[in-house]
Amino acid sequence: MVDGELNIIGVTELRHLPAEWPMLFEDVYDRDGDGIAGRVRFVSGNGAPMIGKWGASLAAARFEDFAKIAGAAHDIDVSEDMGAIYALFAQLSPRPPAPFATDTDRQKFVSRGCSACHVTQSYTFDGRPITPLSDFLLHDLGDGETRTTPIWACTGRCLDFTHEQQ
Amino acid sequence: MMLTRLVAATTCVVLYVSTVSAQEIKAAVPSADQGSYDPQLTAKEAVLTNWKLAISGLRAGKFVSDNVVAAHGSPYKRIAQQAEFAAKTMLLRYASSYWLFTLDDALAPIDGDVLLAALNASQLGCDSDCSNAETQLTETFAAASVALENAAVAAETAAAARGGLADSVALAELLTDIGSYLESDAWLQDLTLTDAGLDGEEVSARIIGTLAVWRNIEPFVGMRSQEIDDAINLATNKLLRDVRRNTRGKEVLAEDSTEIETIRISATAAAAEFRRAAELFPEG
Repeated sequence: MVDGELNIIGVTELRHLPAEWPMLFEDVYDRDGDGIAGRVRFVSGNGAPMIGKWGASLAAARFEDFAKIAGAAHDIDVSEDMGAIYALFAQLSPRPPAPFATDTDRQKFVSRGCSACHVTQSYTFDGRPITPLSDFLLHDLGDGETRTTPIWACTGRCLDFTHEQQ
Repeated sequence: MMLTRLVAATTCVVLYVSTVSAQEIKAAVPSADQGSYDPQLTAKEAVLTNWKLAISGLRAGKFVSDNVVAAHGSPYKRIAQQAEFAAKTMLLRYASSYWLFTLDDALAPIDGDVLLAALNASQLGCDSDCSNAETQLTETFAAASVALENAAVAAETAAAARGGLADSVALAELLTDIGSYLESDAWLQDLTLTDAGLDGEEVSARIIGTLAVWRNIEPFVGMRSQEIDDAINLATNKLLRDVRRNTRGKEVLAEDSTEIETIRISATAAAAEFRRAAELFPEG
């Protein structure tokens, strides 16, 4: 959240992220030797495990489950209003813009190694290519595991950012 | 007002869940009756996670193959880039899931020629008229997609049969299966990619893909015996090291090569630890 503005880009697009997306990039033991290991987060699904894609720790596979977690943490039962809640979030959530302003920016992004986790592959939703710039895997950066944040668009000062500046 | 509270709650829970859940997973075995939103897995779900991992891997291969087919008519350079990523992903995921195909006679491995044809098509160069190369890409990846989906459906049926098992039975079965797989040289049989000079890649994925299983069930073994948990970690770490050292860049790996013998020794040692772990669940 910056200056009171909640960043909820891509709620609709995230809901349609293909379930197998993280498996395109999963590498639990850094098999390819690029120095980066990442694992899929599985969550409970009433007996059938599901692949998590919502939240900073990928704690839920579905928007509805994530909203329940959020609600429960603050003693709010959101079960009855789920349809309306999703509709509101979807309405408030901007569509992701194009991932890069120019080809040069894309090349910089790749050459700096960002795309190792903030992958540049796309999936199709609503007839458009969607590029979340995330592998939706958990990575251990030295202070516990965290998801690759979907950037959606790397424009402006994005290319100046490095994880060392966190 | 309600929305404001929910937005705030969502923001807070992002931080809450990321810091708490990872620490708690080893602290207690979750009960089997938690809601679908609970990030913790039951013991049986942890077992089924490994089936899900393999099935999702096959479906990931189908996903990228379908993308190549769907790109038909796009500029050839773009299709070729997609095909390169698709071939690499599909072959890696299939090899990582290979342990599935040694468990159950109903689960037949995919015909290696189907996958190899897609790989070969992805490596075709094209300077001027690319229609033939494009047709080959479309046809071979379409065939691969069908084969991967059939394998995924068969695996889903086999996984569903495990859903009725008691937790300890499911855990014992999986630990025994992994031990048998590592011990049996199944990871070396019927390699698909020898003709492409990728033996090292395939053997590496077949073993490391199997070790991913361990990550998902480790907490349940550790709670019964920390000593066996540690022993498995020691053995699998050695196996990982030996696999990396002896497969990277190896185009061909003969069954009687020094590299394979080194891996075989480590795999057998790890298998023995997995069998010991299975015995922690005598009800299985």
